[in-house]
Amino acid sequence: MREMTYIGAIQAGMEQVLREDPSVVVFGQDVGGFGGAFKATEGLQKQFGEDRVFDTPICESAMLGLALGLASQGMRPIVEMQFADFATTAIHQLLNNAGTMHYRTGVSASMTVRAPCGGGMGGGPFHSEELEAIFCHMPGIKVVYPATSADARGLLLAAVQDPDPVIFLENKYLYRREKQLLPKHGDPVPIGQASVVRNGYDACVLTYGAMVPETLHAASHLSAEENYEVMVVDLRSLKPYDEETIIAAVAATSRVLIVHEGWRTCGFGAELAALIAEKAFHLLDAPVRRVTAPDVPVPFARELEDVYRPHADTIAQALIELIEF
Amino acid sequence: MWTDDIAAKVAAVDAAVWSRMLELMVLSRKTDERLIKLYHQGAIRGSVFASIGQEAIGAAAVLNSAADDLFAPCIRDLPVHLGRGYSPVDIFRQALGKTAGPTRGRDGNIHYGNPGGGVYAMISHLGAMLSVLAGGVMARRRRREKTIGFAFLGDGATSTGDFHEAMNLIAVRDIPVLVIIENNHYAYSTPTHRQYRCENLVDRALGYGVDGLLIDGNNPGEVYITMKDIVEDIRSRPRPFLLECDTMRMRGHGEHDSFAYAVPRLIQKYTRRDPIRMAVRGMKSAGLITDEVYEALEKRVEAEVREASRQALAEPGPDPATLCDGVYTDA
Amino acid sequence: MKTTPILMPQMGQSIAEGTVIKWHCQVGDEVTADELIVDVESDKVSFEVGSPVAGKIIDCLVSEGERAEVGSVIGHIESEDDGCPEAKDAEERTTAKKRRHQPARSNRAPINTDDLPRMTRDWLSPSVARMAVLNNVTVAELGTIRGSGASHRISRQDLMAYLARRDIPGGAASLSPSATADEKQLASLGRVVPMTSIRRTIADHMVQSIHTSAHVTMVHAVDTTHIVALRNKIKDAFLKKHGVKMTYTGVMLYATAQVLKEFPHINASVIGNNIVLRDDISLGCAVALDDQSLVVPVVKNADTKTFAEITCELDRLIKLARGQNLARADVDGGTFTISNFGSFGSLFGTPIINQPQVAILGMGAITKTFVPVDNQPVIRDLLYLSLSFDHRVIDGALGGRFLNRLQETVESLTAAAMGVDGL
Repeated sequence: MREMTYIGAIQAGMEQVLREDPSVVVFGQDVGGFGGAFKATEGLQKQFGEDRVFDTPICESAMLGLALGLASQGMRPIVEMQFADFATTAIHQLLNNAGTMHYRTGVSASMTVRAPCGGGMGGGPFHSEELEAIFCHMPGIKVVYPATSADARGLLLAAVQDPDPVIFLENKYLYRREKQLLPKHGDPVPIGQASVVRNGYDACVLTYGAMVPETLHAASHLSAEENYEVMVVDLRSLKPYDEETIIAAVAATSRVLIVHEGWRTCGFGAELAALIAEKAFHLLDAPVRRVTAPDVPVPFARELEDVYRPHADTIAQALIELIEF
Repeated sequence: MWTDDIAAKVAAVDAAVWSRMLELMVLSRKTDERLIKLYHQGAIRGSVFASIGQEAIGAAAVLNSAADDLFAPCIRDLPVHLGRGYSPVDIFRQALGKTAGPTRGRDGNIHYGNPGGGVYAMISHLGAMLSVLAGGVMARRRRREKTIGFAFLGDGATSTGDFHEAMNLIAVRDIPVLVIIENNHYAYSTPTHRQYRCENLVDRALGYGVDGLLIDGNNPGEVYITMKDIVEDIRSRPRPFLLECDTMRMRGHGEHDSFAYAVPRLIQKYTRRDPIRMAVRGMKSAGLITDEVYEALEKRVEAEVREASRQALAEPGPDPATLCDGVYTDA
Repeated sequence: MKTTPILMPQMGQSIAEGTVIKWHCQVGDEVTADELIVDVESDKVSFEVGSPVAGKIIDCLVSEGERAEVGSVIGHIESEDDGCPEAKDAEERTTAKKRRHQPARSNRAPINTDDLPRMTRDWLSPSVARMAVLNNVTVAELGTIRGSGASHRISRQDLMAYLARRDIPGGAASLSPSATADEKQLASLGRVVPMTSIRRTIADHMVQSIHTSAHVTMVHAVDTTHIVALRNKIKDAFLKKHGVKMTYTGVMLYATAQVLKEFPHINASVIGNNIVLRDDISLGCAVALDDQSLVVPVVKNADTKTFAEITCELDRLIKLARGQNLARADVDGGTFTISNFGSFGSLFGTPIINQPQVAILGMGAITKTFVPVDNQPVIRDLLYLSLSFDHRVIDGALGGRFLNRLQETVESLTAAAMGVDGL
């Protein structure tokens, strides 16, 4: 067992699959000798050679196309978008090429797209975006979003093993803040399974990514100060998402708060709210609520970003209102 | 361009190659013509996109390829599909959206490939397949196969960011892809002078740091011989190569397009330079074929194509209950 | 022989119609496969359409210069060839086009919808629960409402319909039959006659009244020998003078109106937790109609009317009722009701209060009876008056006093008091 940060777990996961599976290659901008903008691939090129871990020019579309081509011939590429934000210049390679390939031609494309996302560190509009809603909208694409070191490694292993394109969203805010004691060898965490990370009966929170620790913080505060017990569900997989666990959480609490760091309109929370309206309407005792970022570009200044991004206190306030509804 | 060197090389090629090339071009032409008829009869949804007039390029590529090679055809490369494992009945199934077709009714017209034949299914986003092909070639060469890639793009596709990104990437990584630009004078209705400012598209090879060549894409002998040399070269010394083929789209962008914007002089010029005509002329002068033999070939292919279309027409379309099947590998 | 349709081809994704420019063949012509048969065009492009099969042209449905929808049939060829399945689909599409515009319930497995959660009879939606609370609908009442939703749950509309019935003046809440038996099962018992809506309303009102008021009925025998004698004496003259028959109902309306002036607690309504002592005295009079329904028209301000005026007004209302011409105003605003079931021969009955009133007077048949007068049997015309009253607000003493006073009034009624002494 050793303590692993969230980014350390991602690195360990890549190291493990590179070691165990010769069909895995890792590439992206600056991921080789430099070790990546966030050092997620540090040392991997040295260990596995330039053949397995290599740099590309700045070409998000060609990187994703290359990954798809490799995957179509049975390789298992892991491609790093330096920032998830930059994947938008190559959205057609995901939506139209990778996402349609199996449906149209029957050819599987097992590729993992690592996309560092999220704000809270002054990244500004183009280095902080949360784009899961865009990715989740695409047929043929899977989307996972770990919140802990264990899930980061486990979901990465699962993504690499998965026969289809998986977008692996990794939260930059959690990179070095999340730490867990983990065994040297990791096991995959099945895609499509949520995790109930705190039990409660007054309300449930459906959340993921960096909002999981924020919500847990809010939940312990409410338990101590208000005697409210809040269930917290870390979705972990956004597409496919764990409908069963979500409905069970609604059934157990009848009050639902959805928290995400991404934008509000057509955000992933809208999908969850719609699911609950369709399938758990009869279980509700209060309106479904959302705490999200407002529909504005991610601001830079601390004063602005602090109010842009949901925090434990805003989550706690929303929960009190929801529980006292 | 046609040189004594090429002429000498053409003369040295086995006669069987020219017969195969001619047959492939005629098969493609007759299949296209039947697709157009079916479209006019209301049997095909959407549109039909013909390769007519550009058959020499795809046919020459196929004849110069090895079994392990990979192809990323574009809109007007029917000879590639027919030369890499598909028969006319597969083409009709695709156009008619039949269950047994390459995309099982999920996509129509030219968006299909043949994984078994190493042919990628294009998407409509032009230039997007070049990097995919590069990835495929990279993967196969890691398995120590001698694979090279044949990428096909039109003049219009060279204007996209995808083309640039992928060209630069394969140049940097020395991925052996023969990038074939079929310059057919129009991207839909846009003529080449509204598409790019350089004199020839092959000029761009310099910028990417790759070798390039401009050839007559309607001269089957020249296309075949040039590609043969390039393929041998990049197979042994892996790197991309930019080959611009001058040719002409002889019909509208699709059969829904009247092609009213076409310059008549161009149509006349390239009608005289029709690749099948040029092949027949060359073979006749070399004593490889007679009018009777050619007419018999045409007749045989036409019957084959007609039978293929009858067969495809009679087949069932997809079951609506399968709408959601196969989006992912496991479901 | 098979018939293969000739189709208007699709001439581009956005093209919806094409025009037939020229037919190259006529009905009866033999054509070979792919032989040019018709030229068509859109505003973008023109097509030469070759025959899909070899055969004989049997019709050309669209004339030159006319337009047709893309994919529709513009003619037919008879051949030994199968033609293409697309063409057959198009034939069906063309004939079924109008139908296709109306989405219908289909047996096809839904692909783009999810299963709805399964509900039970007892589940109340938030909207229904809220509406029930706001309208004081009890859980017991909810149990009696027939639900039209999935698993017979009560929909918002079901509850709104129930509340609309309950809010009819004179009614409190309506209680529909709580369950409907299987119709086949009913038919095995006898002829099934569904309740008319008016019958259901009456039923609701009656049941609701029983559930609302604590009914108590008291009966007095009233000596009406002099009234019978008076009527026999003047009835022809009364008819002649007023154009209507003199009736015992009219007599009782008149007498009751006078007595009610002294008993405001009988001439009252219960609304919510309040007793409203009504300013006016307006008497409802139950009228049975030929269609076996029951209406209660109201003689307004009966205490201010003469006996003759009351009789005429009652006659007018009954005629309106029989002609189904009663206006809402004719049945609204009653403060007390009289029901004369004596006309059917009943001696006395226990009428049901017309909500939100608090009492109702029932008139039995006037019958000749031996009564002891000075310990000797004497034949008198006796009328049994039964008063049903709401024990929630009226006690037996008050009810008894009212009936006593009414008896005294009727028994001492004179022609002069009734304004008919001149006849």
